[in-house]
Amino acid sequence: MIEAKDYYEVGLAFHGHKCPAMPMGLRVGAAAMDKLGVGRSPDGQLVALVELGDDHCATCFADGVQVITGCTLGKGNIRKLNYGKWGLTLIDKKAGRAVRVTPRAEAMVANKQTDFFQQYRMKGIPASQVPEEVVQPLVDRVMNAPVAQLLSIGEVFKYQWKEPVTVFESFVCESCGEMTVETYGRLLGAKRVCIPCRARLSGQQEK
Amino acid sequence: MKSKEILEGAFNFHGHICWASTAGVRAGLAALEALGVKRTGVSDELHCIVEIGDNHGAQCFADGVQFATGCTLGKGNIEKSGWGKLALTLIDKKREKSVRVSYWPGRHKMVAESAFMKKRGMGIPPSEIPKEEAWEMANFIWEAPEKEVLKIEPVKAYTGREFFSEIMGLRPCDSCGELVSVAYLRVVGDKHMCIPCSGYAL
Repeated sequence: MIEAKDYYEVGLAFHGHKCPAMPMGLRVGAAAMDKLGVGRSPDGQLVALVELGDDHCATCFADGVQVITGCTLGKGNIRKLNYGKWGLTLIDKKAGRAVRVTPRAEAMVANKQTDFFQQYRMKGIPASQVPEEVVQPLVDRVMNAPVAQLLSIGEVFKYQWKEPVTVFESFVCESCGEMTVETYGRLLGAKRVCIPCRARLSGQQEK
Repeated sequence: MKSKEILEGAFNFHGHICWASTAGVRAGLAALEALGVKRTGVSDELHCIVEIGDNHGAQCFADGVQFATGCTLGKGNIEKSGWGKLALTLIDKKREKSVRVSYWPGRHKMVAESAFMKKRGMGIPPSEIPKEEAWEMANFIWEAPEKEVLKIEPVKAYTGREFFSEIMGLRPCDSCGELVSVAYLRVVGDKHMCIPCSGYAL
């Protein structure tokens, strides 16, 4: 069993402020890991597909997912699907299995009807400036609610993962001298350069 | 400021010990210092553009940057430029200043010839390589004089970009009932649906 509570303190330190969305990411991630019977991903064993978009509320969810599943931006095993939703599909690559978990709409609507949202967040106040006594009950509710009340957990399904080729070759850009991944190299006359140097020196932005 | 506890915390978050996440932590801390700011815990202070692409080695750099700067995927204040490079530009949105810090390959031969990288070349995942070997390589980067591993550019004025504020509304999809950020609802006849239910762009 993966306990979301075991990751709360480290999640809060990583994320940087108290809000209900990061803990929701912890709960959803824990449920998906339990359903698949997997532990945190030290390398690229798991892949997380999150349905979040950009510039909308509660994207903080993704930090909870990063912390508990080990699917991180740097390892490249978390991807955004840009649906503006809070579903998580967690894939166990080796086993070829996946599961989708989402917070229940009722649970998220209930969060929206609290002072935290109505009196602070909807008025443009950042979560970090909401008084502790207003935000803490929401955090507690998300962290302590029974799974069935908070989440909807799908059935495990087959997912054939096709591993993309990882490029390890790199070169030193002949213009700026910085390391660049080989497949991101560009030609400028006879020189091998990086993408921004080519754009700057040729005046052409690539599509 | 350059405390080993930060590096250990970063490895804990990242999941394994490696040189690229070490470089990311150093680059991130150097960028904070150059701008005279602290790690951010909110989304409206700093913004980070990290130059990694997809599916290449050393992307782990970005986890070091996330951990050191507090610019995280969840807060939405980090983005990838997709250039396949190990560099970041950290922007102080309020003071409209930025700094670019890149990994400098001054010790890259040491890294490339380390026991750790030889094992990586044989396809062994980082978490299965002995910790002493991993730490030896991380320390090549962590303990190096700054000039050998980082290039810190002068702080510049940063203007000409509008940062959008958050869209707060949420509504359930008329088809699946799951909550959707209003900007992502699509129109299907007289119904409002989420993107996957709408069938658009799938």
